[in-house]
Amino acid sequence: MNHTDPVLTRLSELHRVEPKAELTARIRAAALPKLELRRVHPIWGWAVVASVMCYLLWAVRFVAVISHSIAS
Amino acid sequence: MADPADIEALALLRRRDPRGFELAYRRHAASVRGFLRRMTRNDDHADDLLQITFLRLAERGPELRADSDLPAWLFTVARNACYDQMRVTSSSTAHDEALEVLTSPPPDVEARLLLGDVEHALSRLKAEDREILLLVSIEGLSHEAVSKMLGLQSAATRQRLARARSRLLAALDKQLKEPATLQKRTLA
Repeated sequence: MNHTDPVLTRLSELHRVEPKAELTARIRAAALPKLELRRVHPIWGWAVVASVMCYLLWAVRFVAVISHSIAS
Repeated sequence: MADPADIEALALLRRRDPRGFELAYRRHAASVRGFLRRMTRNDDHADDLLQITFLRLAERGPELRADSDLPAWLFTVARNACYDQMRVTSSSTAHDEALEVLTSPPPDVEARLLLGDVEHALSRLKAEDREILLLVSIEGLSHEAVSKMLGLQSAATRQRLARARSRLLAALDKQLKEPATLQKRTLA
């Protein structure tokens, strides 16, 4: 930006205010776990597969019943 | 053009590598805290907001685009968090003195600027004036990024900056004329 401007130059000298070590450690401790991917428990994967299978079986049975009633 | 270190920090963050967070923190924490401290005029609030800003980076960093402007993103988050807090605490209005729009300040004020004077005068300005002065003087933050952050057209940003600058100079001028300040400056 306009660094020939004495006001802005003075302001740019103001900027850095180093955080205290304690604060930095606290932020680091809270932030780093957030970066890790949350692993989903495998049981949820099996639960999805089981519910899809149940639905498909029900759909096949439903179609079979309908076609049987039409045929008769 | 983004700084290569920021590009590297983003690339690492996108891979959820903690070194990306460390790099971003090392490069920007001090300037974000400086901004927050001068916006809130309160060290504890600035620390809380710094924490919010960098926790948001840890959460959202992996989703940022590789060509994102990291400092602009951080200052946008910091600014939003700051205004959210100001709305809650109403601290922004506590000290906002009604410094009138100033007529052109004496030309010698600029030449006599001391860092402490600038800091003090800045603290007496309204939040929106402080904000634009702080943002435009941040190293590496482009004029376009500041305009985008403030939701303004480039011309409006320049206009607001010019007004804030003249208010700051007038506050400095007023400050320099106060006997207590003059005495302090003489002693320093």
